[in-house]
Amino acid sequence: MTPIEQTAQVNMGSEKQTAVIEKMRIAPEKTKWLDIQIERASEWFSSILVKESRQALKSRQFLWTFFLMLITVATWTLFALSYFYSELSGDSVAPGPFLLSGYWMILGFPLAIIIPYSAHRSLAAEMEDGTLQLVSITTMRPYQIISGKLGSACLQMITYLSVIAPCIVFTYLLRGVDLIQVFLGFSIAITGCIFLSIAGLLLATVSRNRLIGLVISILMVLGLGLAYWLWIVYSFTSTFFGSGMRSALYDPAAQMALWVCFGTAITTAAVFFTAACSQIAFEAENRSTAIRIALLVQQTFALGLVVSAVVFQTVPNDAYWIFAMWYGHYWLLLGSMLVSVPNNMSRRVRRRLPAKIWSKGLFSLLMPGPGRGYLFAVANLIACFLSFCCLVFFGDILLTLVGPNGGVNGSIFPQAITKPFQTIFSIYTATLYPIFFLTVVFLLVRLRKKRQPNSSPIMGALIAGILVAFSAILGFVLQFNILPYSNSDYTIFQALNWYTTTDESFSAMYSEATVAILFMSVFTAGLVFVAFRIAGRELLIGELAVPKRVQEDIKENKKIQLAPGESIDEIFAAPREE
Amino acid sequence: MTPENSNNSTTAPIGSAESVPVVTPTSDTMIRLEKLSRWFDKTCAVNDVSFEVKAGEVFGFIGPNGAGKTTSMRILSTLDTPTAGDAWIDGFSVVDDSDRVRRRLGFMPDNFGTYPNVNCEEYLDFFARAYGLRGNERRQALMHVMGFTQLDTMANKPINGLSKGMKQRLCLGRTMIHNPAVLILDEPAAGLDPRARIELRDMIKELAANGKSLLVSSHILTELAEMCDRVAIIEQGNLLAVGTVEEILSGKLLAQPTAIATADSPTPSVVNERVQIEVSVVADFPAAKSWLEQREDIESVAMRQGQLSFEYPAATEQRAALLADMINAGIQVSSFSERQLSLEDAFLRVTQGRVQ
Repeated sequence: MTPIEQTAQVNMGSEKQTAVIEKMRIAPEKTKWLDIQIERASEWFSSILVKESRQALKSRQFLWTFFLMLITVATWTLFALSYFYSELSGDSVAPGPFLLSGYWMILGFPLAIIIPYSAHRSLAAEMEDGTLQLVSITTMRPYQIISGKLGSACLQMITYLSVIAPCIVFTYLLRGVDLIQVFLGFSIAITGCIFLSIAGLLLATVSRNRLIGLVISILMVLGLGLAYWLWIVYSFTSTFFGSGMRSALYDPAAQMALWVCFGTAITTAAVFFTAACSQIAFEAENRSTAIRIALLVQQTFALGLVVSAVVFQTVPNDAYWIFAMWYGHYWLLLGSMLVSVPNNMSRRVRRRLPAKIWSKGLFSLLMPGPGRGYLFAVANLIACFLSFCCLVFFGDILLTLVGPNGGVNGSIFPQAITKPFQTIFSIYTATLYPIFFLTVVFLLVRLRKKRQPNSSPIMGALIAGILVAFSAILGFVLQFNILPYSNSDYTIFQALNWYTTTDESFSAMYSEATVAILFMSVFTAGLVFVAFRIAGRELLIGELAVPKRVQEDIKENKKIQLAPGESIDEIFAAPREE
Repeated sequence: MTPENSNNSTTAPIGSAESVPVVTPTSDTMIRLEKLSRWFDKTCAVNDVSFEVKAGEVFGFIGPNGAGKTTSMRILSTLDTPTAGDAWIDGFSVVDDSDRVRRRLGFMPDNFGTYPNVNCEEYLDFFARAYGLRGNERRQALMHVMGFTQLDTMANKPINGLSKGMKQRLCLGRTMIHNPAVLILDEPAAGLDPRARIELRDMIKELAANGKSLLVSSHILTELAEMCDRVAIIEQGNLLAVGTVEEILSGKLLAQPTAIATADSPTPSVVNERVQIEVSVVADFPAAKSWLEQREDIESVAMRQGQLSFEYPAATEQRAALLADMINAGIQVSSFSERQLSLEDAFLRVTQGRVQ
């Protein structure tokens, strides 16, 4: 007797009611062992995953794509084998890579285009039809909704991979294909598919009406087309330069490049995931902390890459400068978005503000609010700068301790850092400008919000971009107008130009740029002082007590937790005594 | 996860009169709006609205299109946030404790969201899972809901093949799948045939009888009058009247009281109560109509089905005096009867028909 039948007997007790149950067919005849196991397992899966799997099984689009892929794989196999028939036993041409590249291209189409686009449309359609609203007022959390959609995409991916996997095994049996090549191909395909699917989900949450949705869908298709083209290039490259690629993988620089690619894809996917969740979260919810944690993780990963680059590679001065410019742009862009979020902190969030001194110090900047966002971005810029200073000064100790060749060269600085103080000076310059621009954006957005309280994070990023571009152009315009016969050499007029000033500081420590940097330092310090005073007010907002009704509810919830040996049916069937 | 509302609910056998799990309310007031306002840029959709809905009460929400009903309901359902004020469901703020509100609330919007390639059972199963129901608890909830909405024979039918009435039933089933204490139904009877309306009305009554609080908006006012314990009339975001159907019909809660001065009492006395008078005259309808329109104490004079119809805010003695005046004025009255104001009349009288 199935569980549902048992329940029916317990609760109905009459023949008529049992007949009703049979007619209702709530639990179809699950006589098959596999069905019962799947039904049981589904209790643990996301409800969205279960629903979308059921939909996919009935969907003609999925069935057509699946069978089309089967037919294409079979056709390609037959074609390639007939083409290489005479070479299968010979030594002149290895047929494996040729066959493999075809399989990669076939696999790439659903993984790079169909699955991410389906994930995107699935969420976008729910937003357009209003069904997402019905789901969002259930007890499902936003991350459960997004991960359910992502899980559905992953399930489709596994289905397509299951079609292609036997063929890949077959190519491995032929000459010219090794495990590293197969592993690398699968890793890129799977990571890329998940990344593109999450990006598609994020874009779906951005589209608030059908017109914007249509534009985003078109851009999405173009982007996915580009991703597929890149995948085709990889497939060809791995075919014709397969042996070269394999040997290159043993090169530390190539390994580092792989780490950078995979790490960036995974951490960016995490940022996109948290951003998508916050987009569909209720307005009064805390929509910032998860994103800020994801950003911290990404920054930590980037710093880790830099440290390993110092330890395992010989890092030239230029590399530090490039890294500094990267984190400067990163935090300027994201900081500008963080300072543009709504100003009002909901009472719900205020209940969860850190109360103790140590937790305030650690977690205050992770809480929502534009002021906290500004302080968070500035703190990260300063942290990056200090980390780089430590690397410049103590990198050699790291080299000595864990570096591959000892790295000791009689200096306290890493081998390639010939001018440590100048390197730090240029990193300082590269950090100063994003702080300056971010502070200006924060103050401008603050002024604008007095008239227009609802501003979008995109607007903050746009203001930052315009400011940086305008400052760079302004310097040249002033220089060429005031000094008409000057050449394009650096002058004090370019003090606002982030790029030329940083470049100049890297070339020479004592130059006209030094004066500009000193001037900018003082000016920025003044602005930062004003901004800190404004942003600091947010830190003074005290936490709120939990209302009595909520406290009662928490107590009630604790009461109805299952005791050992107690079943959920007993709780549902009979009321508990208070 | 166990929904906490299972703490105060009991299960009744399917097919019996109590096929809905009974809800024992945790507090007397299940829905409370306090100075609720919602602005969309410069448009005020809801303006300073306050009212309460008690446990086990069916509360009607009446207003013309664009009055702010749906906006208020969306705020109550945690789909939107108020610009000012707040609302509480079972004592939990819809803004600050949306997660707790959602466990206690079922919302049926006026549009029906469907999924392709999904049948009735799968649809309800999805929402049961989304509400955290697992195992036998979920299966039991499905049985109760499908039995109650009589969708049991259509469990495997695709949603897209359902009639409008069946879709409404399914939508109601989805709304009550997690046995919420509060149900908010936005235009549940819209587009239904008479039989489906009657069945829906019976379902709503049954839900209320089992302790659930219902907030129902509808344009079919006669039905609201039959099923609602109290109603609120809203227009242009402003609440115009709140009270029992009888109170609204009697005019006690309607906008402006009428001041009447009689010969015996020169000081105007405020009379709130209004009645609808229908008069038949032998001949010369226009003259009789004109005579009635000239009187300040008479409102809304109209020709209706061969009779003159108007509102007269007066007591029995004053109605007798009016009849005498008409006869003295030479109007040949063949019948003079009183008809109680219907909810429709009250609605038309209170609202101005303006939309935003």
